Amino acid sequence: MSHLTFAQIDIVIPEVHEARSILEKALEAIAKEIGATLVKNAPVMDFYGRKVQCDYVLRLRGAGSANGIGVQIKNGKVTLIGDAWAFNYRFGQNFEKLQEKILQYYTAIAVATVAQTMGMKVSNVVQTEEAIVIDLAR
Amino acid sequence: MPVTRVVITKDGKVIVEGIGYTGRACLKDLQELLERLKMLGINVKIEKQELKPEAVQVSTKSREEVKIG
Repeated sequence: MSHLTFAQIDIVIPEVHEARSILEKALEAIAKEIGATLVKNAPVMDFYGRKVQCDYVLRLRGAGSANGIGVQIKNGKVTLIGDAWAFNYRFGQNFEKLQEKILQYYTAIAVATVAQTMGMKVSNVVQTEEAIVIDLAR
Repeated sequence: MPVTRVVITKDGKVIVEGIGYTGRACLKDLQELLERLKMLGINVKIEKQELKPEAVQVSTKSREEVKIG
């Protein structure tokens, strides 16, 4: 039997090591894409110039030490902190798109991880502007 | 070789397709995948599910075989 299933996802990242590890892999991939460095437990300046401690910071190269995009996990939800305008000006992306990308990458890495625990093998991965396609072979 | 194809869009939608499975194994794999994703905080709400034409054919054939038998 073969099927086609359409679904909507809602993510609440739990306080467990495996989930945090997947989130870090997702952030590392994004850091590489935008030319940033991922730093854990670091401060970032928010839009108003206030220093805010974050779980992770995507430190932008060539920017001052306080510049970057902060990532905080509150009640399992991802929140971004920083100068959204500067990020948009520099990378042509806004925080909303970045947040979507973090959750998309988190899901993709989670799918690949759990598939392996089910005895399946990731046989192909294709990434387009719109989607990530993962083939899991039994 | 049966394949489960997972498409993850940037706006939080997921499409899962079972390809080349026989019987209900694809739905079993789907269920297990969703349960394990839930443990990582990914709650998947199924909005629509379709059996592909070959699945319907297989089901019909199976029913006929049962009737004959």
